[in-house]
Amino acid sequence: MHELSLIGAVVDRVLEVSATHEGRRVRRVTLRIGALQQVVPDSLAFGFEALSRGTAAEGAVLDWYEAPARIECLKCRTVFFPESVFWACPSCGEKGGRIVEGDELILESVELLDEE
Amino acid sequence: MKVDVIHKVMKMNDEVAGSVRRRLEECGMAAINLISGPGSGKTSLIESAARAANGCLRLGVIEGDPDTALDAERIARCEVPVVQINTGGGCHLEANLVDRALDRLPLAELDLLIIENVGNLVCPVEFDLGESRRVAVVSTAEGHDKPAKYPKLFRTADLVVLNKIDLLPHVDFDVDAFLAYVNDLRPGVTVLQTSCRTGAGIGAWMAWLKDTARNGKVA
Repeated sequence: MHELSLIGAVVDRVLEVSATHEGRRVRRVTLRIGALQQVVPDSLAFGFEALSRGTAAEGAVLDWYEAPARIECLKCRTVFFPESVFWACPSCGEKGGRIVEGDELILESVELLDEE
Repeated sequence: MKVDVIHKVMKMNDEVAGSVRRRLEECGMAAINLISGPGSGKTSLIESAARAANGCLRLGVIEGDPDTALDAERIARCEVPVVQINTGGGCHLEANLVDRALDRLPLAELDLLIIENVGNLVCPVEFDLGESRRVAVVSTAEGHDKPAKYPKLFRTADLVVLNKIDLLPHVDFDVDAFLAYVNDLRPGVTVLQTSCRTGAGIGAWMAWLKDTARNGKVA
């Protein structure tokens, strides 16, 4: 349950974006969450609602999508989507492997309300 | 209007972790991040190291717990410089906490910093603390399936310690199954089997710590 710490960093950056755009209120925040990230999205939403209260981000929608994990086999270099925690290569069966993508946690975009 | 940001959420922590690494490097030190569930024996492993160090490895310790200074008091009794961080309910340490704790340690007089993370197999894994190497500790009282259930810790570990092996006759812990899980997740990783009560494996633990102090410094 480290989501509060993560969402605190998200809110800080979102408010920076708002501040550099005349303090406009925030409509939507979009996150890209890699499949290997250990986060519970509902906890992120809960934390966002709590930490954005009283700020330009209050009431904004927190949106996210999951980016798939892709692993590179260290033996035969095949890049594959892992089907279990053990990352067995579908070509040679070797386990383990290098993360190509799927461990990222990115604040992708901030949608601001148009000026009234 | 939509503003593309593409901001790494962990950027601030990673920057501070980088700063911690540089500070340690400037002092000629290495650091380990000790991660496990509560009660697996992290503090006991540090005590064992402190007793065995005998002046030939100068340790400094940062203790992380939600509350109390109980662990720091244990380490202080071993005459090792120690700082206690209380997270007040926080489930993991972050780089900024470690950075502030470094201010309270005599870094110029130390060879190796041991950071004992908050007891938790999940959240600490996500936060780079500026360590040179990461150690995952599991005790025989916790079940041999822990690597499969908490794979990310084991995938990112530079060393795995199986502690409390003196309890093996009394628990249903399948060591071979545990080792197989670990090797599947992190092929080739060193696994030490230790008991702080009997002293089993502590020699190998010390050798690894000394190797880390000599060679674990991040370039």
